[in-house]
Amino acid sequence: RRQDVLTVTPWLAPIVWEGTFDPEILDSAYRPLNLTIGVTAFAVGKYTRFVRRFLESAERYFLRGYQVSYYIFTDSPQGLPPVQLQPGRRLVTVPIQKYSSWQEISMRRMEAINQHVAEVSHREVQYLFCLDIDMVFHNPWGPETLGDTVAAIHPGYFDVPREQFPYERRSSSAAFIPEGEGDFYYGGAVFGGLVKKVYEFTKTCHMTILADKANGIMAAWQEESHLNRHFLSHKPSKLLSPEYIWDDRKPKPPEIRLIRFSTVNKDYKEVRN
Amino acid sequence: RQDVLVLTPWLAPIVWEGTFSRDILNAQYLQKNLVTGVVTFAVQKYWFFIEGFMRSANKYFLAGHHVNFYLFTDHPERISHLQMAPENHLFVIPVQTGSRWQDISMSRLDIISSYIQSQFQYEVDYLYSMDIDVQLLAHIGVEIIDALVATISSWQVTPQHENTADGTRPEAQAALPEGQGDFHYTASFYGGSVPEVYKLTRACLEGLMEDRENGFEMAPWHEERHLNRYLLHHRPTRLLSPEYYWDTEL
Repeated sequence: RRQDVLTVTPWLAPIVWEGTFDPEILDSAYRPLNLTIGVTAFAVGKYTRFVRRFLESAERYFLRGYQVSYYIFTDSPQGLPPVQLQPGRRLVTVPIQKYSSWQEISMRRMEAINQHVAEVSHREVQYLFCLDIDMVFHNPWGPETLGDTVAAIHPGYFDVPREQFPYERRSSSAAFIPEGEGDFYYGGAVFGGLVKKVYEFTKTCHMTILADKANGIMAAWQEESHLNRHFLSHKPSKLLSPEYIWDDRKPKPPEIRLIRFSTVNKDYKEVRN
Repeated sequence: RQDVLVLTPWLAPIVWEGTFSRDILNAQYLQKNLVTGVVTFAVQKYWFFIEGFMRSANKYFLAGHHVNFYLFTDHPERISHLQMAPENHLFVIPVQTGSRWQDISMSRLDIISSYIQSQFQYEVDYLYSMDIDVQLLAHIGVEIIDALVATISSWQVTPQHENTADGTRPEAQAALPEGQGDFHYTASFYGGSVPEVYKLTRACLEGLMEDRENGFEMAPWHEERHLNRYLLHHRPTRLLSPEYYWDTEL
């Protein structure tokens, strides 16, 4: 039981923190369902260097004991390191085009995920998580994370007033959120849900991204801005606390008892070139 | 709310006043174009409660939303003209449930599950079973709408406590194994999506029938005990706090 943090949203979606759930009860409810959970991650250009640590840590901590399909979207399938996987888990490489700028690559993720769900993953998995590749699992990530639509609270903004959320503030953008509105600031590095729901909201985000492109505007934080716009009008059914989307450069506050998934330290200039 | 438990260990929210925004929930409900039904029984002398129940439910239950009230009664002639809100519908369905309350209890579950199959599944998305001998005193809104919803009647705190509301015949089908059971749910107000309510009522009915076949004379709390047993193995996706429960004996 946690009394130091908010554990239920005003629309009655649970916010998952260490101490709010019993892993055994959840496991006993989810294991019999024989689920396969999918993970998408984009390893484009120099980002292939993050794949090994991502996968190795996932094998140790991500939905351990469940069937998992990793869909690694990459422009260099041969450049991926071989990683030993547990039984019931598989790796699928999804070839994608490399775009000219990292912003473009970032924004095209929604389209790529959406297309892939339509063509492949809807048949193979029941739940899908879309994660950034330049991150590592440090602690268990279990079935407490499963839900219809799942978003994660950005570590930089979970204890900050909403006026400071870096929403897109230009009204000409389709991702515009006016002052005085907004529930949380969700991070683009972690989102997911039922595969059908992921299909729907990646399509919506892709459409709003295209609308902006047609108007010659790019949202402040690329698809993260569009994701926040979407989740304002279509509230997620489950929220993950920043334990599930941490930034190691930040000092750990007392509310964060456990870091489950966090960024790898890197030189942004070098990697994004 | 920091004074109460608002989330179960399986991450189902527990609904208390102050934990939710009805505005946000109303907007979501309307977005999805949902229809909710209420099923209630007024059998034998319970016809007396119809007017009070219907008047208060009409006013306070999902006010402003489209609700179908399905009233099963063996005294359809006793129903005075009830003024319904424009968005609500009342369906009075005559039934014969037998004179023994044991049969009535089983009949309720039987009726609910068979009517779900034949009718309700085509008319509503969510269905709630409510006892008729209550009057709503305040708004009950769309915060109750979720896949499988049960109302806490009393606080059975830790798994170490044996559930004292269980009867004295532990061999009966619905006896909870010692050390299990967290919350105790009331049979007077539960519901959820139509498929989930169907599964629940069928399971409870089958449990009661099996008890009867094994020669267990039914006690008044047996329906509730089967409900609790089912919900132990199929955990509710949302719990209503005791604010939503009225003990008519209090």
